[in-house]
Amino acid sequence: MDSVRLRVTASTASYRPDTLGSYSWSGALGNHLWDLAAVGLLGGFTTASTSAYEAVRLGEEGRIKTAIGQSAFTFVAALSAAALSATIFGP
Amino acid sequence: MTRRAHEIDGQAAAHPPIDPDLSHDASRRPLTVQCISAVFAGGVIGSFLRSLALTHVPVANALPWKLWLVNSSGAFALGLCATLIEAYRAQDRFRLFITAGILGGWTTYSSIAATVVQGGHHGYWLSAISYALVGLLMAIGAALLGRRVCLRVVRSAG
Repeated sequence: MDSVRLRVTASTASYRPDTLGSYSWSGALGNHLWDLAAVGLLGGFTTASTSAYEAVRLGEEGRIKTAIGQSAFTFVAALSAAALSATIFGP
Repeated sequence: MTRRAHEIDGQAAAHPPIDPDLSHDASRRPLTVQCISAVFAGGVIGSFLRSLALTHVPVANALPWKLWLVNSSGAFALGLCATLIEAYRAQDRFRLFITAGILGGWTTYSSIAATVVQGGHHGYWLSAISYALVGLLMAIGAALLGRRVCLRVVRSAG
């Protein structure tokens, strides 16, 4: 049996404080079952469209700084969390 | 101009929530079983379609454009649908089915983050981060376009 590699990636989907992080697991089992589970569960949990729409709505209300800050925070938080988990658990 | 279009212009006293997943009225009603089921059903559909798109759409060149396409199309659709839902005060379960369900499942942020990490692992940090930034800007532009298109249609219809 192929060895199992687990890669945990954490990303934050929104600037709101009650947003939980999301985690993805990717492993090599020979049948990509874990990959499909990650695509479904974690891809469904996180969303890029809501973040984009919120930025548009904030911009419409004149809250440009908040829109930029929300987008930037989500972006940086997601990438940082992903990089951190990759560092901890390995590539 | 209809009353709904006038409200959407932001001149009404009550502003709809920024988050398209939240109800348009001020009350934070608890989610009903119907709403939860709607989110679940929509999420299954959206995630499944994304899986098909990312797996079976052939890659034309080296650019990782599939995630761009998925997230931009989802953001455009959300701009369109959320504006329509706001205009016609759709029921919560229908709104959640579309926004949190289908479009939430269709688009993904974690895949973008994972792709950047993978690119960085191979020494392509700058390219990977640039890729993610372009995708983010495309999604925002698509959401803006979708909302503008819908506003124009609603105004002309009203």
